[in-house]
Amino acid sequence: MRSIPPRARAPIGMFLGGAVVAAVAAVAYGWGTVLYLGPVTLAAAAGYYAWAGRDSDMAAVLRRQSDERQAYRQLKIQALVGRVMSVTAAVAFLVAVAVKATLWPFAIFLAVLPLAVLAGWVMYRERGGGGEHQAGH
Amino acid sequence: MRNRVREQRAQRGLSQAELGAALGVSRQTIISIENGRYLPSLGLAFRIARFFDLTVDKMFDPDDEETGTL
Repeated sequence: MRSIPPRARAPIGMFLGGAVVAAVAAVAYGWGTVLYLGPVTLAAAAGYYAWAGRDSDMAAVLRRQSDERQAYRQLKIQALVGRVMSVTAAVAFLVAVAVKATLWPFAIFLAVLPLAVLAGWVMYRERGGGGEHQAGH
Repeated sequence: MRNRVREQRAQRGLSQAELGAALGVSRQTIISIENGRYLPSLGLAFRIARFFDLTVDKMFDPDDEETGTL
């Protein structure tokens, strides 16, 4: 990762992600879908490259060169995105139940959610040190 | 919490970008600290204070009310 120029990191990630999506879509729906997804992926990667060259918080995050304030800001944004996605999945699940649509995509998301919360508590627990020590006890 | 970053930086004739580079943070973060919108971590607060040859409590005044978020 360090050998990749900082400005190219996000665009390369976007390009690779887009290529995977395009490949899956091509297998499922035929190679014609690449004609649509290819240009979109390239345009998104080019947009990320242009954005990553700017002097801004988001550009620093895209370059993976964020400082503590930018990293904290990104963390808050990720938390907001997580909350919005969770609520959206829950609402979509209820709608899918109501209209008797396919449930499993939403069910997977809702099943993963508590596991992710549990994993977060385990992974980010504070290590070392015990509880409070009270003087005289 | 009020701080003396802007005042100290001006005394040394540094730009926000130069101070940011010296402290290893972005220009935007220096702006946010100077404006009281961001309270730096303890580590960064010490780096700032040491950079200006001051103590942390001389650099940051907790008694002076000015909003900032961490």
